Amino acid sequence: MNQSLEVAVRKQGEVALIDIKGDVTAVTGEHIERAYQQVCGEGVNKVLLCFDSGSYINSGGIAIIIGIAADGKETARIIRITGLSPHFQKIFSMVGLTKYAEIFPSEQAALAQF
Amino acid sequence: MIEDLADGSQLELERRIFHLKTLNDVSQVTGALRDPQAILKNLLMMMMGTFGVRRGAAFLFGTGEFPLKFIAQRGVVTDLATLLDPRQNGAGWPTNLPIGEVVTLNRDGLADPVSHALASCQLQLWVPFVVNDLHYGGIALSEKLLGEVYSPEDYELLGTIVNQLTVALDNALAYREIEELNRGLEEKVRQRTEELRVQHTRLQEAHGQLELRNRFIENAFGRYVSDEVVSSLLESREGLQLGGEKRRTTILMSDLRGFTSMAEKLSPEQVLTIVNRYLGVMVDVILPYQGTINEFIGDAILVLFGAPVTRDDDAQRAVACAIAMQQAMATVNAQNREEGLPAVEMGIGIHTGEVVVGNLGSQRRMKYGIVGSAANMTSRVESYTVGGQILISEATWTEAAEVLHVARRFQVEAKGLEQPLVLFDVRGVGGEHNLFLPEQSEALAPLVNAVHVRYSVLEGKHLSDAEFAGRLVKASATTGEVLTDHPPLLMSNLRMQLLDANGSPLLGHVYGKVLEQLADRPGVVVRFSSALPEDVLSTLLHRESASLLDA
Repeated sequence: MNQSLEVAVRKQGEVALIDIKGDVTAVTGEHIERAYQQVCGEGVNKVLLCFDSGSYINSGGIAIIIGIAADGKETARIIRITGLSPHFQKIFSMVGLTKYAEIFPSEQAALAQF
Repeated sequence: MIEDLADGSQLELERRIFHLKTLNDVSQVTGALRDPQAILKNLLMMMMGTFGVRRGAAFLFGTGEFPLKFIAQRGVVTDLATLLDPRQNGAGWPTNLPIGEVVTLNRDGLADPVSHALASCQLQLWVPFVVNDLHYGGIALSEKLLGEVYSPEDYELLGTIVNQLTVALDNALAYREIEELNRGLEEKVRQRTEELRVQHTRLQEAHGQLELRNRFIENAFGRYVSDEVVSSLLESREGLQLGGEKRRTTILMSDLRGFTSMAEKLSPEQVLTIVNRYLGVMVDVILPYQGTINEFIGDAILVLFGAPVTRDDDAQRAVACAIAMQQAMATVNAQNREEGLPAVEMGIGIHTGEVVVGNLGSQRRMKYGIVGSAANMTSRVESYTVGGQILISEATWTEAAEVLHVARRFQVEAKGLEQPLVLFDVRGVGGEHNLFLPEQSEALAPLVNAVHVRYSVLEGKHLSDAEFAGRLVKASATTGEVLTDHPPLLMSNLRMQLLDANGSPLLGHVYGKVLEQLADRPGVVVRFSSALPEDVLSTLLHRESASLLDA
């Protein structure tokens, strides 16, 4: 785990896509939180978290994603996730994240369902 | 079903692997972080991510009035710092908590205020812990996202992570303590360095002032006092007061008798040679007696004993110095003779009295000097001396009488003084100095034929208009006996002209001082200011022709 993370925001229609590439920890995950808060502030209600296939997410990073997903539920925003490796898909499911944010196999699939 | 079991086992296996990875991540984080706040926050989030929890809090209490030191909370709306403040809940850290064990919150009968506070924030359990026996803390979690009950394995994992947390916090707190100590030490070092710097600056300033002062002292006195006096001035804070002050001082004044008239017959180079030789020899004599050479006035030297440094034996040392100076004249005259220069004679007067000493002059030109009647009196005493003589006033006599050897005591009627001036002709000083003037062995020889003398009395440097006649009937090289109907006063200075039978001058003017008035006939004994040359004396003593008066 090299503790580096790249986060970028792009829009497709009403959906804000937050691209995440690198290692997600409690520290680096704050970049994702800031990007999420930024798009929320712009009035976006549909957010797709696009993980890079090589991304590593530790338990602290999972807590960041839980926070975003739970906030989405509480604020009636739709939060979706794509790009996770099968391993992390299982982990996300294990901790109950999928209750708040559906995981899609691809960006197109996720966008099609918004 | 088997497939379900297999799926279930696979899931459990992956969960355990995930937990192990979490434990590994916890080790890495706790090993890397030094800030208790960051440790609490990171471990809380790791726990929340591990168990899939929306809300959680981690906190650490210390001792003291407001003991809550660090707190991290996520997903909890309430400000837990205020909620957990013992000043709000009226209680301190609860005792009898199961340290390291899970305390469930979603039940009745919670016994302590911390548990109550956490329960009010929709937290489901918490684990109390202790750090180094001085800090108490806890980590609290809400229900799982999945709504599952926390399993025994979950409790075990919680316990393990809390153990790692307490070790990390212990290290972090110790690190902070050391950092604070270091900061304190650095601050002390910085303060001390600053103090030293200030002290150093002050020392440098004081040193600069001292150097200035020392330079001043050396410039003012260095060439005119002995090294011992300079050292005494430099070492003593009170020894030197450069402001004016009254001080009892013994003043010595020396003068080459008859040198002014002698100088008229010499070249400027010869005059300087004689004066500088004389002054140089005298300075070397004076300094060992700790006299302060205040001034050279032509061939006169003014020396102070008692300023700027006072000693009990100032008067004794002054007299001893005077005798040593007279003894040293032999050296001066020996060198003069070698160079074909005339011998010179010195008279010394000494007086003791109060003078004002201090810096005389202005900022632009200043010297250490004396002012007062005692200085004038010394000059007057000296004016009564003949060559080779030391006269002291009664005041000096009083200060040093027990060791002084005196040839005679006499009085002079001094102009401007109500009382006669009492003077002592000093021949030696006993005691530790034990110095004596050479015996005067010159006898007066009668002249075969008396020589006519015409003389006037000098009043200061001014020659009186009156001229008197007399006869020189006895003489030596330095002294003559003059018979006259108008004997001048004792200590009068005379300008005499010795005349031949035709009334023409035999010599140039001869200056002298009346040492004695003859008891048995009208006349005086005169000490010549300059010794008569041998041939002149011989001529005077043996000349056959009578003077005009004998005719």
